[in-house]
Amino acid sequence: MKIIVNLDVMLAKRKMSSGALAEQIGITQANLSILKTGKAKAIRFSTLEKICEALQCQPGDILKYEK
Amino acid sequence: MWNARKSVILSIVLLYTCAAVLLASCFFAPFVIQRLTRTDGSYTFGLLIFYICVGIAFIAITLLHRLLHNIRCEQVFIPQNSRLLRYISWCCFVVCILTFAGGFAFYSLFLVCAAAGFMGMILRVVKNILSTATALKTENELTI
Repeated sequence: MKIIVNLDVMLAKRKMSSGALAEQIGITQANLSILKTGKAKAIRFSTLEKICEALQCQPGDILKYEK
Repeated sequence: MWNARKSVILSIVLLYTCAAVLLASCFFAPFVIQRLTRTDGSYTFGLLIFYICVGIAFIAITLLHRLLHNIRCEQVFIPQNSRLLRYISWCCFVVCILTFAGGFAFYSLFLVCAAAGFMGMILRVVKNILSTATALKTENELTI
């Protein structure tokens, strides 16, 4: 089982760069890269809320569960 | 003002002192063991046990030095430190087994055996705590 982070897809849909998103939600580019590459162990609700707000999407658009 | 850095330096100084005492004991050991033993067989056996234990103690001191070096470099919660503690605890257990065997020739070695075994056990517990702390820190660092 694996949780897939589809942040790249959403960024492409919204035509937004990683740097711009990182700046908007107030996290470092390094941390955003950890999230994008799937190396993150967990994500805070506050971070998820900020990402959803910045990308105008639902948590389900970013996170996907795969068996 | 006393701080963590000075504490680590004091530990390193104590470690060097311990190594120096151990080195000095290598020269005096034959005379001391000769006084304690009555037969040639027990003298050789005692000396053999002593030098093997000193060798293991030097390995433990080297590992402790590496551990203190990591702590000095502010790398406390890393898997390498848990590994070093595990090796040091195994050194203690080896000394425990050796002194247990030696205890049948020199009864006082049973005390060293108990002390080494207890120390090894404490180190294993500390190692387990450090491993858990390292895992928690990694998880915390990878929480975005």
